[in-house]
Amino acid sequence: MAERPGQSFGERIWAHLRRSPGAMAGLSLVALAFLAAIYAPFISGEAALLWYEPGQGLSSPVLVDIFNRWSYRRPHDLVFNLAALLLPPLAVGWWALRRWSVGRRLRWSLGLLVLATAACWAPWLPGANGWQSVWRERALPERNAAVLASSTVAGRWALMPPIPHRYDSTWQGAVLVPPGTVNPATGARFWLGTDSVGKDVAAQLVMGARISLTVGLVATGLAMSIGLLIGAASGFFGGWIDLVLQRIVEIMLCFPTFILILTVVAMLGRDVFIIMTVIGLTAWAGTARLVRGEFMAQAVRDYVAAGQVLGLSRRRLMFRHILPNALTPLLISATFGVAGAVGSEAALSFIGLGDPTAASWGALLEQGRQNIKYAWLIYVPGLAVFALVTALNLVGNALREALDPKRR
Amino acid sequence: MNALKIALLVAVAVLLLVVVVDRMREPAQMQQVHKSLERMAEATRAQTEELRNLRQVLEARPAAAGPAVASSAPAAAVVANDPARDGNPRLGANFLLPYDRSWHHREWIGGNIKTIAASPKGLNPLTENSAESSAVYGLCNDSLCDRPPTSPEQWMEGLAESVVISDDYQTYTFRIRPGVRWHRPVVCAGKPEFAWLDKDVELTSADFKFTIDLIQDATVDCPQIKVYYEDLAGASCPDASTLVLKWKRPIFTSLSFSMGLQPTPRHIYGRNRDGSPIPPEQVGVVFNKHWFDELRGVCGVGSYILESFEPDKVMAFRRNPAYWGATLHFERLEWVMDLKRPDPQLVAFKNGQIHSHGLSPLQYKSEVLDRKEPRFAAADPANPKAGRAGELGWEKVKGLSFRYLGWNMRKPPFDDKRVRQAMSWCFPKERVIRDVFFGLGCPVSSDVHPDSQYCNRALKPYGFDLARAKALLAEAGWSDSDGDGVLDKLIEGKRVPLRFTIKYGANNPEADNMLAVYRNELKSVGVAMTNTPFEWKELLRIFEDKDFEAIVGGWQMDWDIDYFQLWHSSQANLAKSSNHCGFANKRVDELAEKLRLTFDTQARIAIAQEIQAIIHDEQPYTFLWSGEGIFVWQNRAPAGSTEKDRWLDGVTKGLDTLHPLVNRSRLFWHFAR
Amino acid sequence: MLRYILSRLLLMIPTFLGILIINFAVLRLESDPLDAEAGMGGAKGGEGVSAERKASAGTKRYENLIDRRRRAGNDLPALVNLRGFLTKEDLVERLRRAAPGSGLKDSQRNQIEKETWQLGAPAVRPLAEVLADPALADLHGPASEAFSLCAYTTLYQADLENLGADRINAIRARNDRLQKQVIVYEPAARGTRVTDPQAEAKRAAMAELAAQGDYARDRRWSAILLDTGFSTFVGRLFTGNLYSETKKRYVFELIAERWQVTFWLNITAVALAWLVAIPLGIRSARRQGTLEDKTTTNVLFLLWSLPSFFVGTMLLHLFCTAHTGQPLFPNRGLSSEDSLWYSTPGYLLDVLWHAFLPLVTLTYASFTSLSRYMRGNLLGELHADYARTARAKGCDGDRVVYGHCLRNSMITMITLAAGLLSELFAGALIVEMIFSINGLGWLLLDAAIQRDAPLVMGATVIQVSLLLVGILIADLLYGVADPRLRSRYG
Repeated sequence: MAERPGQSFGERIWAHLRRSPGAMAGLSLVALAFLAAIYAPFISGEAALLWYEPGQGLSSPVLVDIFNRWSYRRPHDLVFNLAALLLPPLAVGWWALRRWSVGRRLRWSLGLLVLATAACWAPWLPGANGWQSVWRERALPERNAAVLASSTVAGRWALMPPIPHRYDSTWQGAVLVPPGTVNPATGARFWLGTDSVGKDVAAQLVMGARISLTVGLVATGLAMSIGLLIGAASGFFGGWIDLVLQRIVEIMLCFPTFILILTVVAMLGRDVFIIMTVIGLTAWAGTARLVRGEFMAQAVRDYVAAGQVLGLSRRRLMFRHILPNALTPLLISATFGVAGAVGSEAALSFIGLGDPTAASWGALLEQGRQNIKYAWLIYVPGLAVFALVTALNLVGNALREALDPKRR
Repeated sequence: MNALKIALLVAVAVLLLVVVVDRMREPAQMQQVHKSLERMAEATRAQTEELRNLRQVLEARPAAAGPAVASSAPAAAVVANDPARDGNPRLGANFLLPYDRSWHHREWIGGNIKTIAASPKGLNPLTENSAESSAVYGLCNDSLCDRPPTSPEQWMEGLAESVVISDDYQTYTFRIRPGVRWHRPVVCAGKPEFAWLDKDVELTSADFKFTIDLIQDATVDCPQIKVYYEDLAGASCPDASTLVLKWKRPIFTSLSFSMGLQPTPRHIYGRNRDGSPIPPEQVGVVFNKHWFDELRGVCGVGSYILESFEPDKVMAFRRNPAYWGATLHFERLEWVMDLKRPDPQLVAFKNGQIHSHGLSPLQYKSEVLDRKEPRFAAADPANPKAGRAGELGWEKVKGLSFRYLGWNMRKPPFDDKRVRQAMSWCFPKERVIRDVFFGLGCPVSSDVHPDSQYCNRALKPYGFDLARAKALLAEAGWSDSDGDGVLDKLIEGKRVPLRFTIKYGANNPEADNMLAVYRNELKSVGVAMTNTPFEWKELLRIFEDKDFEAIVGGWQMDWDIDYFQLWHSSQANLAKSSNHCGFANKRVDELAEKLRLTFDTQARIAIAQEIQAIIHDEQPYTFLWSGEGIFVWQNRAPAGSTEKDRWLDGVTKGLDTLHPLVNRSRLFWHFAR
Repeated sequence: MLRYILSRLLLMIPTFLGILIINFAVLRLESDPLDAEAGMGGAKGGEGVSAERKASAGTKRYENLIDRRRRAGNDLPALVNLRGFLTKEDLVERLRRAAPGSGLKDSQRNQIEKETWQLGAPAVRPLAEVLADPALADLHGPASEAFSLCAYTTLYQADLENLGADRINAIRARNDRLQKQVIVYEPAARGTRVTDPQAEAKRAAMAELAAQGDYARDRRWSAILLDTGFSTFVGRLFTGNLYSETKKRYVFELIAERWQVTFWLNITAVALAWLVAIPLGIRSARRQGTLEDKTTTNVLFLLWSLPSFFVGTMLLHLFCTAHTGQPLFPNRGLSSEDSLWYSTPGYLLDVLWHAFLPLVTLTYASFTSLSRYMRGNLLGELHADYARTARAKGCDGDRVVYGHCLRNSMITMITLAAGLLSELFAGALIVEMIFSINGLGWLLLDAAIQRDAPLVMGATVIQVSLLLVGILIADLLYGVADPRLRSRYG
């Protein structure tokens, strides 16, 4: 593949990915999953997207509801809901600043998101009802599908989300109904049936994408950071540090991880955040080994020697100069890592150690496991996990092909 | 040519495999053959013994008795329709119902019945307190007196032929049935080292005294039993067939624990492995880790003998040929223990490998209500017996337990009666029973089952009425002053929102679902509830520390009611007590103490109903429902047999004649071959 | 060669120990060992709260629980034992904290109390000192209780078999005597109050008992590392004495029994996977770029991403559930119930019928990755210079592939095979669960959920040793596959 001089790392990968149909399919699936996760409240929810009340004019209850702590209680929901609001301006900015490099734009977007999230929780910002109060409990929106279905007010119209059911609403008399049944309360259909309390499976599927992606990202992020630190230290310093760290890595590699996860989860409790932490804490050994290899290879290069002669600090040398060169294998293993973590969470749930209170795909699957007669409870979450894992693996594969020096 | 070679090679490989596997299976087959030979020999022995017993009985009987002997049992002196013997406790005379074996049809006996059970951890009669081991002893051992399954509130003869209570319910004098013999434990049979055990040992009152001594021995590790016998002054046996139990004070619980006492084999637990007696002062210490338990042996006087026990696989019982009374109808009972998940259990039942079983609510929904299994007859709301018609029979049975939401009354917001009542009005009991349990639950409004004689049926249950709940909360001063959808109230100068966490046990999907529904209802009233599941161990700690605002719990109910443990104020602040909600009410204290000292049934009912009325008003618990189950059975005779009607007859007779609250397992009583 | 193996083995020791320590530490997170027993009973049923709660009220004698903990080595501190240095002041503080009115929660007080009871022999002397001090009269009740439990002698199974009857009786008599010396007390507003009229006599008796016993302090230094939970565990591990208290069996016995089931299933699955994967990989590599190769690669890729729990459940749903009439395959176990009496070919067919779906589920997961690797490696070798040379010299395709390249590409496959031994051991958990096969996976899951430390540890140890042995064998096999590597063995 011809490399244009001045082409950045990101652009090179992008150019390669664009030419691989598998990678593009995978990428679009992943993007779709992210979009579904981010816009979950707009796809499935009881708050109307738009509501016209004669005399009061047009309103958008969903925009208020996404900051309602009643409706979205878990911390990751905050991030996703903010992302839903910030995504359009960011897209505009992305286009406006197209002269910036991809990496720079990415950093800025993520930075803005993190800042906004922090701001919502920050108690030091002005006013008792300042920023903090954006994210608080409000009365549930009364402008929902059930009200609309039974309303007789002339001139009232509303635009409802395609699935006008919340992921945690329990519908009376609609327990374990098969896909396609009409919900008498709202007049909408349960496109994917309901579960054993009468919650809409389709709505849970959309919200479950949030949990699955969060599990994947957090667990992998944790594993990557630990792996990076240990691998970098081990590869850069060598000597006895390397010897000790390599023993630790070897221990983690030989460890029967699944038993460990089982034991720890059985012991600490079945919270979804505990699960993702445990998955992350047991998955870093491979990364550490990869990073160490890269660091060892780079540490003997001339530019490092030059840097040392120039008197650069070790930290600067490690993280500003060597690290970018070691990013390649890290990126590949991160992609596969996310796929692995999503699968692990689902498997844990399947065994019966998932978080029963989270609307995760694993939790849905656990319900399917408990009663195999209701096929939609097996196939819907199972296929969702399969699709996401396949998509991530496709991307990982394409990345590997793009970045593998042997193939270039 | 090549293809031929390969084909030849494959053929040789398969042949080799067959030969090798054949060799490997041989020992197991031989073992099985030996086992069945042994069983045959045993059956012959049993037959001989039975004949001998029969002859003894016939000889002992006056010639006039005629040919009416249907039972092999040494007939108890049956006192027909003695009005004084009605089973209700009374001072000074024997009140026990005569031993009843009307359900015993001699011509039905035979066959092997398989059911599913969990593996007991150990089989010590006193130190093991799991449900599984008590089920084993229920089959293999008997108690002094019994509750007849048709009217469990009364008492019937058991190992005791008569009991006389005297001294204001403090002294119980039992007359032990003569001629009752201990099993010869199968684990020891035929082994030369246990030759000293190879003899018939008769049950005497000393065996009961031995049990009492063990229970009262500080070294014996059975706290769960000890607590019930704390008020027992002691046991004595003036002669081999008389047992006297003396209690320190007249307390009602003494009745059932005196009558329900099971004997422990002194000739085994009082001896070392080689047959030498253990010094009396060490019996207690040795008992905890006795050699007989290491052998996984069970020795009792009951109707079944433990035949074999392979943990996590199978446990088999054989009819006791020398049993003094009437046994169940089966020659053999087999407990299958290797099926742990509900799905394979159900499939095993449907394939006919298991004869009777229970369905979970979800299975009931899919198999019966959604008609995924056509061999079950369809449900018919008008006819509760509709399930009997199918090729596989099913019927709803009641259970003796209830579930509740407990409110911690020690701190706001649940220190206010009106808030607790409002919480109860918010619970859609009917809907949860219908949607989450698919109709398997019987709403209760107190801790007594509606079918029990103690239940106060005049109480009006809390229904589902959000308007009423809102009104009650408003009356208690809760309002949504800041428009956030959560009610709040000014308490000690601070605005406190009505927000609480309910704690419950993990791994319980029905509880998850129930709380999901409840949370949505509370939401619409303006109450914020968070549900947090806890592992069992954590939950125990929470109960211990009373560290909760609300909690989901369950209790077993008992035939004899006692309000002291759950509701007496002295139990409210005790470590590890059962009154974890902190309920304290002077009148209830008084009544609960009085109830413990009252033996007259009518007076007890009056007291119990008054207590229930107070508790109903106070609502320390939101009483939910009493569990119900679906009992399913093979509704056809074994292949090739023409006994279909008899088979059906056995089950239906059981379902119709048993008291509605008698445990499902006792349905076996009528399960004929 | 021998030296190479030895050095490899030596390097494995720290890895092995490290794994043991981590695992041990994780299992020791379990905070309240004495109550674990009670917890297990209740985990079974939803309605369990009641019966268990009723049961837990009552007297608190703990000899048997302490016996159990001692037999499992759980009464000892995990890694460092400093109990030999306990002083009277330490115990006074503990007793005070455990007494009512200390301001701690009930569960915390109970916890401290139970920990004190578990201190064992090293605490006997200091406790005797507490008991001898009349100024601490308010603590004498709990102290005497702790004394009787700390001085209690556990009779291990081995003791029962080896010690003479006289000795056993003497120990039992002593335990019995200890028990009788507990001073009766009742809780007061702060602390406790002795209500026993015979307190003085009991104190004297206890002083005598303390003097008699062998509670010397000269071993306290060696105890720091040698008398800990970890060392006990390692000792039991190497003597094969690990005992599972929940199953009441010796761990290795239990594992061996269950392994028989899992082992056959796994070994067949692995054999099948290799049999399918290698020809598939070779075929695919030789036809690189053709439609067939592309299809195979893509299908394998999809299969590789399919989670096995989903596939298993799907198969179970499709083939083992009666939609109409009889299901195609049985849904549980590895053989029919009465299979013992089938003819041998019939038995084999029956086993095959039962094992078919589990085998499919187990096999597909491994053969996809295996054949992907096979294809990749073989491609690399086929493009190498030596292969081109061979072809130029006139070797036919088969000879190039089977004679030259295959051998070289086996190196990676050997590495993969190294992991197989340990995967054999525990890899089938999900499959066992779906198809209700009573094998090792179930055992491990149960053990993990019930926190049966010895069982989990035993299984981990076996699995890790298998993995390490696998790596060693792989190292040796490299030499067979590639003679150049033999020089390493020196």
